Amino acid sequence: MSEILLTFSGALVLGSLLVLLNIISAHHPYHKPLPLAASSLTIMGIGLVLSMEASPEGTAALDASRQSLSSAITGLLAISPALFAVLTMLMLRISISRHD
Amino acid sequence: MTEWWLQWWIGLFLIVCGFSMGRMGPAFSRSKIGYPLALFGLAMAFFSPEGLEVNELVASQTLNQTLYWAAPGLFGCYTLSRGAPIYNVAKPAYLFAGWSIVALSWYIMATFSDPLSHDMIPSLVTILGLFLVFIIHIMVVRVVETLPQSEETVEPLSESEKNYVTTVLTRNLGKLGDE
Repeated sequence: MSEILLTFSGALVLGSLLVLLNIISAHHPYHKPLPLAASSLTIMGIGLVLSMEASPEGTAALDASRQSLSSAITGLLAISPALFAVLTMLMLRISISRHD
Repeated sequence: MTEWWLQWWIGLFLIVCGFSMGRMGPAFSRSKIGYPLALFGLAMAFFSPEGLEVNELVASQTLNQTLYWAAPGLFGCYTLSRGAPIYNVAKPAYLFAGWSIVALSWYIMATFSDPLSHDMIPSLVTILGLFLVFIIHIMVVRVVETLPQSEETVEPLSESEKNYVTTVLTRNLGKLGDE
């Protein structure tokens, strides 16, 4: 159960990090990044608290976040063959598509 | 304890940053260093350093195993997208090369990695967590979009941007007119 909670908290932190990194990297004058950054930081904080709850007693916040994030990355990579199968189907569709 | 584990994480962050920078903005003003930065990050993550924890080691090994088939697979899909019919005009050479590379990628996956060996529960939990973040993100974007707009007026297109748009439209409309 703690492993599932660790992975879930890692997914929350991972998703928030992706949003934050995208906001920083892709900033342009017409963005309104503050509400998005605030919501992402809140979710990340919740994820960090959950990862500390799921980790063994006495684990530092940094170590707990490293463990949870890497669990989430492994989970995401494990499903990549299924995503590639969907991508292959899409490629098949655009290869044979015709517009009359 | 060495701090070289940071290299792996910085590499992952650079992949995301580089991809975001490369996709940002209109095609004529995208960042030139975006994709090179993402490739640099990929190299940093691929050659994983010492000092990784158990979970990080598993993630690093899974990433490397995935890259062996995903790198040619994505390149094959890119080639296919270049060869796919646009206005009913396909490029058979690109399609043939693309499908060959995609088939090679599936062969590598089936031969050298075991895609069904992973426990699917962590994957589903990860997808659930990411989906939750995505839903909240969409809701926040909707709220932000309802906020009053600023009074600033958007600058008109520059001469080079006007030329670019005119060229693209002329090229595509010209093709339609030929048929």
